[in-house]
Amino acid sequence: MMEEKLGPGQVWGKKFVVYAALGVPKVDPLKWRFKIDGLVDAPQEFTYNQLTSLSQVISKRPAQCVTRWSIRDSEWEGVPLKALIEPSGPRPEAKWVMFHCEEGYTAPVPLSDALSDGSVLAFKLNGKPLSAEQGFPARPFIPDLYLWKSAKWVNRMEMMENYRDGYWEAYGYHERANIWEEERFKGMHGKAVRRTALGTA
Amino acid sequence: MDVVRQAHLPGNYELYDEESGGLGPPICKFCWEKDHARNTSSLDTVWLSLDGWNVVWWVCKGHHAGMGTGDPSMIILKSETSLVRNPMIGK
Repeated sequence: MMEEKLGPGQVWGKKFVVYAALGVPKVDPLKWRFKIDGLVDAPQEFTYNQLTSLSQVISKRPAQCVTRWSIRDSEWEGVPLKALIEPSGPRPEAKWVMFHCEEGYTAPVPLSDALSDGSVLAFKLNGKPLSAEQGFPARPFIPDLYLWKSAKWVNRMEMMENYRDGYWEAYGYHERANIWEEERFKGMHGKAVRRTALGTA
Repeated sequence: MDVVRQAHLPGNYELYDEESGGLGPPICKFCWEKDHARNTSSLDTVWLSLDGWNVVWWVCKGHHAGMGTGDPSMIILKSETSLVRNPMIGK
């Protein structure tokens, strides 16, 4: 089944490894706002209650980290990103989305991946509200991209014409990060895995 | 049981407990790549340019001392004589 497919070069892990490169922010859901702006005709701003009152779906796909562990049976529950992006009217030149987060983390993803089936703005993981370590109050989940693109503590989605590095991309991680093409590092094209200057094979 | 895994900081390695999912300390990149040795003691942090890539490596003091000699593609930008777990990279 598609939802249990392991990405190339990945191994199943037992538990999530929790990363918080810039720390775990404490977010008050009553004060938190989620914005959609940039190259859109109708910028939007939502409260937590507004978003969680919208129709929710479950995206059951593995979480797959670029450091080669994957977690099966992860159920990400939230609003399809498509249902948030399309009403904002992204302009034709918009090709990338930058996720901005509470603690300053950023992650760019292709707009086409954000709009794909299974991509959600998640508020729950495996039936429970996201924990603080997993990104409460919200994080996108984009099933075909490595997990660093599913940015925790997100508060803004900026539509862009041109690619810009986010936090991890500045360290050499891939611009798009497609799991099935094993796009782990910049300079790795398609499935050609070579030893890079980063010292990884 | 701790295993060695790729760290989220590209090109580096760290110990990892498979049962708990907990991260252990980083290990010296060169000690692992050359000898599969799990050297976690007194690591330094080195920022460098390598073939045009900006990278940050965790290395032991012995390997730090030997870096940058005889390799014109490697330019050391700065270093700290301590472990910086989440180093900010220069752009």
